[in-house]
Amino acid sequence: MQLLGLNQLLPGSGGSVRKDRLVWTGRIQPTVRSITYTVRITMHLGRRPDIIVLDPPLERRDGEALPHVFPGDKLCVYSGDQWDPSKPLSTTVLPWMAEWLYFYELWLPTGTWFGGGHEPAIKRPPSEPAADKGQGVKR
Amino acid sequence: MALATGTALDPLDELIDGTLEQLDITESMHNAAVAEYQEVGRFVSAAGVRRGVDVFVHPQGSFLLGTVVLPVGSNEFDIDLVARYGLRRTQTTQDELKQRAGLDLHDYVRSRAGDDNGPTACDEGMRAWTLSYRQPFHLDTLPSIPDDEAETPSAILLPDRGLVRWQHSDPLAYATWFVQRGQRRLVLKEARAYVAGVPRFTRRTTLQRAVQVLKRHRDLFFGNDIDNRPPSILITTLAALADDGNNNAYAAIVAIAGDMERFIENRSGVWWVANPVAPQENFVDKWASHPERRTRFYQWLDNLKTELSAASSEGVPSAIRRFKAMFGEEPVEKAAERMGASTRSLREQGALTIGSAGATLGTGGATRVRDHRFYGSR
Repeated sequence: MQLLGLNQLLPGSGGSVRKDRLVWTGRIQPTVRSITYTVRITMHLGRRPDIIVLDPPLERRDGEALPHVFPGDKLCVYSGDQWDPSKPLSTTVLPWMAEWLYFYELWLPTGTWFGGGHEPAIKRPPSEPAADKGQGVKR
Repeated sequence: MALATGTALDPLDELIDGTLEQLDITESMHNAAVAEYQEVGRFVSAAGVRRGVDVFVHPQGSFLLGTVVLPVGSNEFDIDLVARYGLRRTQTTQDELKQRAGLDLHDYVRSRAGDDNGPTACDEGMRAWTLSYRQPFHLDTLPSIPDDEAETPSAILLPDRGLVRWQHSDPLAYATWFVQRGQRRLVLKEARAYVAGVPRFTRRTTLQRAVQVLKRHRDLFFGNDIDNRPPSILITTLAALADDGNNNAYAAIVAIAGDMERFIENRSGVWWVANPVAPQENFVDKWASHPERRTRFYQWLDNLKTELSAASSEGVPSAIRRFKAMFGEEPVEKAAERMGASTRSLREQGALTIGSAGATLGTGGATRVRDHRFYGSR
């Protein structure tokens, strides 16, 4: 069902389900002025999806880590219970990936993530709130 | 650009708009400048009445056209005024006229002594008199007389730099022409009000914005090479002639940059860009004696075209980097911030959508980007 939804939303994309593992590859152009990225979602049954950008490789600013990724440059597009396996990837994770790429394209030349979101507790001074609801976070 | 359903986000258009917002004068600066120019106008007119001469003061140039951009590294701008003295060519000389205007303006400075909003000095320039203020602007007043031989009643004669030959011009007719070029796809309701006063442009036409962008790029490209810098009136005229009526600022600039050189004529070996409302005035007459200015003009135009073309083809991060170099680091950075905040706000309001081709972001599409929070340690 998940695969069907993704393929219906993005014609030309493709994927497979083997045993309990879904692999989907598609192409996202976050804005009409953007390049097209090839992305892959890999998901084991009942687990959170792993999202990576296959092509072109994600760029970094000098010596800086990418914002909002898990180890292995897996995109972190939601927090906590905003997604669970009952929710279609096509109307949650997929649009969030496009939006991640949009804010990544602004972060790259400016150094600021304008998309908001959680910052990890260990890197945050105690006085700051958990969720960044204000301006972009300079990284 | 319209999708099957909804409208796609266009970062380049938004960045241009956001950058211009940083380079525009504020409403309070605008209003202070208008109040001051009207004060000058009243004073000089009253002085004229006492001598039996009809004097009419009005703005010209970018302030009248709605194409002001703040100078690089400064928030001080200048307003060009024309003081039209109701005298005939036979009644005055260029030198007399200029000295007459100087006396009037010096009297004006004295009349405002002690007033914090009044001028602090009046200085003589090559053709104009400059009033300076504590506020971040100055007024350049160019004395003139009516051009009785011209077809339009607003035509004037100006002293030239050497105070020898009268120069033909018609800034009010030019402004009407420019506004009509910019709005020729719209119903023009306010043309008269525009010329009679100085409106605050809350929504600029695409042409006005394109001219602001071209001027800003010129200012940064030429830097201290002031002598070779193409004058604003030349860029404004070529842009208005080349404008294709596109409503997207970025697309309009690309079209204008690609087309503007078509309107530079060679008349028997002399380069010409005629004033569209005063055809005797050649905006590139200096190219004959200073051929390097023409060379530099084309270097600037080539740079503009190359950068725009790369920005269009290399993706958004490259476009932002190029815009920073073209229009200034700070205004473009702020424009990117404004754009990012606006897109985030669209998502939070449930108005951000993706289209079915490439999950491209926009508004009004079928699949909503549900509100969420990005996560992740690094």
